[in-house]
Amino acid sequence: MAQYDLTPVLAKHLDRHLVFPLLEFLGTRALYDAADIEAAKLQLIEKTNMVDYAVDIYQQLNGTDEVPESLLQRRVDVVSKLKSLESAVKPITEFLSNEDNVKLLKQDKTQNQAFLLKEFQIGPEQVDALYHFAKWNFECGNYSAAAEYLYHYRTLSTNPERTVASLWGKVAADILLQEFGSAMDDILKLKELIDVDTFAPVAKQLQQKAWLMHWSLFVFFNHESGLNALIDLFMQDRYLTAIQLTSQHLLRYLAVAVVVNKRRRNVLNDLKRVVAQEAYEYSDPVTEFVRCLFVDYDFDGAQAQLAKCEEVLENDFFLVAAKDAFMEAARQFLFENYCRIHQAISIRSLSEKLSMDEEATEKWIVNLVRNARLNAKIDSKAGTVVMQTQTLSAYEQLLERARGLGLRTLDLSNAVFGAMRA
Amino acid sequence: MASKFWAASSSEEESEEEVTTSEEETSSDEGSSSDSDSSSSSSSSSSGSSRKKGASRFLMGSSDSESEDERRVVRSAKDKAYDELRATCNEIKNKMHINDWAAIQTLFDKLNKQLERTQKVTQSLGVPRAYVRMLCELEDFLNKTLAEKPKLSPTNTRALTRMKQTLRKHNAAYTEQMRLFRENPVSETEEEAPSSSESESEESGSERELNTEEEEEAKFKSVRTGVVQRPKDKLLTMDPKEITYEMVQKKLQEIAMARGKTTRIDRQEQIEMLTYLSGVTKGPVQKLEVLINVITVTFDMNQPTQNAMTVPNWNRCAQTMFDIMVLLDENRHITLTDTPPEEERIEEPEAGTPTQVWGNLGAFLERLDDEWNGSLKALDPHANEYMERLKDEAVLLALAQKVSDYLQAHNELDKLAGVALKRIQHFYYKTDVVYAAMRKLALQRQQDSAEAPEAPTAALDAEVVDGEEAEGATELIVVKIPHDFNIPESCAELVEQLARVVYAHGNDNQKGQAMLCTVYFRCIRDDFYGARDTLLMSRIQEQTGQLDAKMQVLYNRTIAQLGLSAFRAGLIFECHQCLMDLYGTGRVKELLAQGIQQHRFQEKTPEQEAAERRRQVPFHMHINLELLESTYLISAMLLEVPAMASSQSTDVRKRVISKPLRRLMDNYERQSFTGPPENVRDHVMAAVRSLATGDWRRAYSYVTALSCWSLLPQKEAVLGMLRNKLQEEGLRTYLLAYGRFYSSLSIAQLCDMFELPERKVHAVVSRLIADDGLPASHDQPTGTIVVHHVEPTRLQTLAGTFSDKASLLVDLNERALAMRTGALHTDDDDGDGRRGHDGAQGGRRTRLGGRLGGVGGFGGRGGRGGRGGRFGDRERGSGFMPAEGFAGGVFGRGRGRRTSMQRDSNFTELGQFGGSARRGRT
Repeated sequence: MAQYDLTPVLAKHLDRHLVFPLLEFLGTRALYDAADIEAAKLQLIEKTNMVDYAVDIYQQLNGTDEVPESLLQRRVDVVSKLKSLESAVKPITEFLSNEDNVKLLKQDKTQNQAFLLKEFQIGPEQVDALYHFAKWNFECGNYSAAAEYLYHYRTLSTNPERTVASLWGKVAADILLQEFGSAMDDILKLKELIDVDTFAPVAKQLQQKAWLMHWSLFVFFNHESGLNALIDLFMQDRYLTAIQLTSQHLLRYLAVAVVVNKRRRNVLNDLKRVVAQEAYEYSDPVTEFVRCLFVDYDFDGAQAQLAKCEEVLENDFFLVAAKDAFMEAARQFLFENYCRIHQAISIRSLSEKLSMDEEATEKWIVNLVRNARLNAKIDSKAGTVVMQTQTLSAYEQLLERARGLGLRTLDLSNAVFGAMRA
Repeated sequence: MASKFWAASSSEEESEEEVTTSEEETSSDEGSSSDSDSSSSSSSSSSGSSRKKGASRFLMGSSDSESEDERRVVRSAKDKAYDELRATCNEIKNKMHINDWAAIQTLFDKLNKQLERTQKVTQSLGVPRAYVRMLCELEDFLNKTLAEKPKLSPTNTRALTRMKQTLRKHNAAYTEQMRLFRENPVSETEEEAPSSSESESEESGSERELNTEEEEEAKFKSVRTGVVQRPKDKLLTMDPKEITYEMVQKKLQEIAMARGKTTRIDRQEQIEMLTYLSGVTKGPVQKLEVLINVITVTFDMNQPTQNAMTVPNWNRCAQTMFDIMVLLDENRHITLTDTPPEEERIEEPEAGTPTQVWGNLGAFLERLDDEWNGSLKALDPHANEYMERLKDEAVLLALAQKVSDYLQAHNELDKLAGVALKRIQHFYYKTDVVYAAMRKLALQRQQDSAEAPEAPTAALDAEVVDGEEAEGATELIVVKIPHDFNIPESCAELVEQLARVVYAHGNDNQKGQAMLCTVYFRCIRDDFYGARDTLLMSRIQEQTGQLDAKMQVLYNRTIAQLGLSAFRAGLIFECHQCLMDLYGTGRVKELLAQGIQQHRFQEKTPEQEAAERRRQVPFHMHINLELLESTYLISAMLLEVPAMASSQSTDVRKRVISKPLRRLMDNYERQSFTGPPENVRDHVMAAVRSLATGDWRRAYSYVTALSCWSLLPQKEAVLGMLRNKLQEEGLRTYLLAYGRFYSSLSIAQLCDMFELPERKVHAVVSRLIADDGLPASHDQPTGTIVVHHVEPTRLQTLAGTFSDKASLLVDLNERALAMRTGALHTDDDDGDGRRGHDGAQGGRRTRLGGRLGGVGGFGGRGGRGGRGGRFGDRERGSGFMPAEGFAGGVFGRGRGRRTSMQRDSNFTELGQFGGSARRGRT
């Protein structure tokens, strides 16, 4: 199953800190050797400022109580740096800690700048220091502080590049704090910024889009309206292209979102097309399932893939929660498509295809029929489901064809009259 | 005019006389010119030499003379030219009698033109004696007239003065011949008594036979070059030690000045001189200058647009280039520049000081490459010479490597890109097998030249010592491949590396070419997706109309290979997409530059034809047209036959997928009797007919009978793929065509008929039901397909037709209104007319956006740009990221629109060079 694990691919597009939850999750699965994961964590953390944690992991990994010299040294550095930064941002943090002061700030940033300089002697250097301090906090794992400072920084800063960077930082911090509501808002803000910035080099734009999509996974799969938002974002032309160009593996998440989301059947065709197009670049059980079912009509293949999907979803940090919903929806899809082209199906073979026992299958079908999603009857004597095929009669076909002709003609005549009058 | 009449008749008489004497005259003229160094021998005696029996006579004959009796029977072009010349001479004489200077002037001009023609016909630079005589007479007469000052009309006086000037100027070139003529005007007496010439020459002939062999030999040599032998340059006879820097420099300048001035210079002689000079130079700088001059002079020896360089010359150039490279390598302080030095050097600069010498290695290499290609085009591809010539590619590659090393070292990056592109162009069309073979050959040759290092230099030395034997020596030049030439094992790496260089430093055109080459290269290595993505990334297909002819050809070749590669990968649809436009025009040969096609309704001007001939691709790079055609037709068949079956059964007229195939089918059906298939088209037609009835077995046997499959290295796999496809499409066709005649079909039986596994049949049928509207459904318990088809009653059919017509009417009305109100409704597929305006505008905007993105690299519509640029972070494509400036930098519509992009590409305008062929399409 490790072959379908996307963590290494995803990690390329994520912040160090964001990879951490993925590794934690992997630690709970038996996909990889535990020591390997710990080693990976250590490697990950070495570059951050979470020195104490690094020490812990190191000791755990090597089974010693020793602390390596480099980490000790690093700890001293980190602390001293923190001290110096703290002193630099002191005026501004003091200013911000007072609720009333914050209320004094206006919408206009330049005005604020002048105001701060005049009233509190807070110049651009201090504001910059705030940014660095927030970053430092983030690196230390102090996400809530980082999020707060970044929020204030954004209100004060006039540097557009830094503002974007701080927004990224804010999103990361929110995600790590599991505040998905605000993260969602920030993601949308970020998206706007990225979409507006059309003059950046193409490669950079692509990269930013890819990042945004990867980061948003955290949010979308944890937010209640996340799946809808995910489909909205990923199915946008530009983002879909970005997926096709740089990160085809995201198709897995898109496919799951589409399959699970019953109300968004209209995007299914797009999904089919993209999956079929990218089959040579990327395929995993989920996309293969989509391909088998919707493109090739290979039900046995789809069935086999579905079985694999279960395992894949189980081992995917983002999808593990959506597993049951997906399996259910996928089964429904399978069955629906199967029924569409069949006149009579034996319940036995159906139960095999759906990997349920006969009783459960029958019950399941009855439920489907009752919900009026299917026009079918069960012939319990023969043990079959009989579909009521509804071919359009010639009369209906005719109606279908002529529909709208009247309205169109009316429009036409109106237009003619309008033109004549004008 | 009476005078004219008289003149004409007299000239006729005289010309008859002239005919008989012409032989002696011309040959004696040759002789006299050849004997300029030994002027003692009379012209009559030399005329005898031409009539002498034996080997030397035939050798002489190569320049101009033919035996008399032969000439009397058939008047060759040569003789005609001489006669005309003589006729003009006589006319001038007549005009001289009546002092008509205006006429003389025009006739003189005519004479000069005729002389030129004569020289061309006889391929000699010699001057007929009659002409020289005319010159002498004219000069005498002119002097006489000027002295006498007769009364003349104003026009005549004016003509006289002008004639005086022209003649003075003109005769300067012929002083030598005229002097000789005046010294020895024997032929004039000959003319007076033509009958005696026969015996006289006979006598002299026998006399001549007594001469020694050596003398004859010498004569042969000088005659063959066909020009006046200048007295031997004193430089050559001097003691090499006495030659100073200045002398060499002066000589060099002299040669450089003579460049491009007149065709009367003997370049061979110049080269001899230069090769000699290169041995006596006073330092590396001067030697370099001499060597560069050797190259330029050799380049002047032929016109690249007309004929290719001879092999010895080519070899000499290549060797000289190698010498230059060695020299440059040894003397790092010398660099080559494009601009000629402002002041000439008086003495050799001191060793070690940075010096600049005029010369452009990149350009030399390019010319050499062009000449090599040109000579390949001139050769018969099936002859052995072609193979021999092909072997010289190794030399070229070695040279290119050397040059690019030099350019790299001197940081001349734009030229480096050019050279890299040239190198790519030698690799991109080679499959691994061919590349390995070439590599082996190159290494072999390198080894050979390492083993025998002295031989070629010895030949060069010999040349220097004895200038006379230069011609013979050049034949011996075997270009050595230097020992440090290495040709890497993996062609792919090499090409990628070179492509990177071009992308980094080249201009747009070069980048485009390099990109196309890499795409081609990937295609023939079966990397269809990689190739397609690279191609689409470049967005080059949007600008095919603006490309120059050479690049269009390359583009077409690339597309053809892309199609072939898709076919091998079993991607029938993609294959058809690629080849469709190529075959839609019916001028494949022209598009691929693999031969000249004649068109019925189009006459080409000679210029167009010459241009087309020049574009031709050398034979060893050709794409097999038979294979291409089979591939196209078969892929069209696989798509078209089920579509036809479906449209027949449902009465819905679907789009024609492949027009050429339909056309072929119509032709085929019109025939009253059809024989067994012979060519590709027959085979495919037969297969189409079998497949249309679902008989895939016979279709398969027809397809496999094609001989071109043996050209594919992976023949078995491709045929297996074809078999599969035929089975599948056969099943589809069968169901679509005959499904409605069944009430149910057993899946097992279908499996049996089409030799497909049940799962496959199920999948195919399912897709038919779901996507293509086959009115049927599976009945799982019995393993059958139940068909629900109900034939509509007549009333129903009529009502359906009526409703169709009504909706058509509404459509047309909407369109008419849209036209009137200004917004042209273009979107055909958009059935909803009310959206017409918006749709059309939107469409236009997209197109514009695409353009902007294409031209500016990136900009304008950010979104579009953002969607493009597939390169960037892709590992696979990372090496192929042309700089932003490259017009093809972004790939606009994303891959989602891939198929449609291909459909609406400008492809069809390809190869419609000069825009003349547009009407062929419309």
